[in-house]
Amino acid sequence: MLDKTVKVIENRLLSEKGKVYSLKLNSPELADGCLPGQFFEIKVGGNDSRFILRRPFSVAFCDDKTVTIRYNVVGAGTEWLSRITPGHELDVLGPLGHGWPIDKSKKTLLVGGSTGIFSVLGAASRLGNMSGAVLGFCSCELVNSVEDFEAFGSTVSVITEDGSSGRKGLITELVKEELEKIKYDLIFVCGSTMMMKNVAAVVKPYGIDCYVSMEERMACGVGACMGCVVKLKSDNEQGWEYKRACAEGPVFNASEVIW
Amino acid sequence: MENTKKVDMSVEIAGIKLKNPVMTSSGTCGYGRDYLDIWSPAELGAIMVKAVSIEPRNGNPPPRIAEIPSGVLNSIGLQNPGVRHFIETDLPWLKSIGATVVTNVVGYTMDDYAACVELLDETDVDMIELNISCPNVAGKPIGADPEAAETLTARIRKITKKPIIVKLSPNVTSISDIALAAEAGGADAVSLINCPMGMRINIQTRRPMLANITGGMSGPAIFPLALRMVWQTAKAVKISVLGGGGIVKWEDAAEMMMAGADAVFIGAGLFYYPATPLKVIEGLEKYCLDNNLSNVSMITDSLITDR
Repeated sequence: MLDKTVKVIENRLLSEKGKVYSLKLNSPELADGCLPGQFFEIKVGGNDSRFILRRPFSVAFCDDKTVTIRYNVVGAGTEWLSRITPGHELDVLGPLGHGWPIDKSKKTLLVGGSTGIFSVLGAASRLGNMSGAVLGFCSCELVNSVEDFEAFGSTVSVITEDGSSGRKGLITELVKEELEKIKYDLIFVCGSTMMMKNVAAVVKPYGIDCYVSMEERMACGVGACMGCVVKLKSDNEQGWEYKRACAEGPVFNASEVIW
Repeated sequence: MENTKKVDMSVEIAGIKLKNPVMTSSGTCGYGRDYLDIWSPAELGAIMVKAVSIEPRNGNPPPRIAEIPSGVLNSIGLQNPGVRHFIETDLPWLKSIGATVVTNVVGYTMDDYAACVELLDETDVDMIELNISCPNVAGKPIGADPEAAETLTARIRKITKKPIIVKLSPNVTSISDIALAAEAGGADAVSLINCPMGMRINIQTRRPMLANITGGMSGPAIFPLALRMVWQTAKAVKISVLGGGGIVKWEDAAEMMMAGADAVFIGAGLFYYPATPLKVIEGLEKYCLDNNLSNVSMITDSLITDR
């Protein structure tokens, strides 16, 4: 974990309707050892910012010198971030948390919903053609990054809730079809809590190891404040415990999560 | 010519010499391991560890965090693995790396506090901080009642010779009255402020942003409130005053000391910049050099109120 002031190389709009941006940071130090599914906390609002909390973003992909993060504008902090132009500097803390248990010998199904696709995109960047991706969006204007999954070698299917791009329907249907068609060894899921819960339920009968990337309101990002806890099964007396999404997660085995 | 003058950055709190006047506040720095890549607890004046209770606690359900303008609203609910776990695992490690350790203690009842302190008294923990002011657990906190605050402090005083710090709540009419009660009970120091209570609502869902509905505020939003309370308290008591609440830069720490704090503690400032404690130590040292102060404690109580 490092706290670095790094230069922005690119902050490109990917989807106008979805307000999705691709932010590329120049930092060999942050890129070094960064694993898919890990995240960074970026300080927003400048030096004397009224935003005391940094914003957590999962890494989309890295190379030797750069880290690429994809995000959508959801509030005042990401709105500020979206206005940052190349050449400006950002304070970035990370890489943080535990990422996906990547195994290049295992055929892995990546399931991403909406902004959840960025975390599994990182897994695609490492797995290449050992991955299949099922991506869900509300409608076609929000679809993005599909070509990046394909460029990494992943076979992609898209489903939209309104049918405006790819299949019409819910992502769970597509996940089920994919599992009937191809034998997968591992499944990584990132999306809304409801989506992950539903996908985990669909996957369960197949007996395939399924991992989910949990999201919770976060403060420190390093495990110190106990803010971002997730309820997990435990072998203690009460049978459950709160664990920190930032430190023990954000990636957890779906079978441990109490939804 | 290079400035070769040195500043004595050490301060003395309740007979214990701290390397410098900068601590990290309970609940924001875990048990000292989480920020190791940025700073070591041994670099601080002291680390005030996350509260421990006699039995482990689950804490409150999430969401536990919401943002407020220039601050954070939290309702963690004192999740902790229990005092025994702390004594077995974290404390020996903290002492082995040379940290000065303040253990923050909570309880549902006075018996809980007493049981915790009895166990801690047999360890090499440096100081005990009685957290009588957590805003996020049910029931009237002892910190809102001068009589209860004095009774608890006096009871703990009989159990241990270790320095006792009483952490004060700002959610009271007169914080200096509670400080005086702690002093009368035998406390060696008071630390203030714990979090003032706050609330936020999501207007789309019409639901509170925190699962626990209300929470404690921290960050720069509360700094002026904390500063005022530290000033009032430092005027009222003779024991040491540890000041914190919204310190995010060295200038804030200098203000806090001028208002009467013998040492300062940094909490939400860690979320802003994890290296804040180190920057504050550096900034205070430079301020002393620039102002010909040979000892950092000369900042304490140096406020001039004449116009």
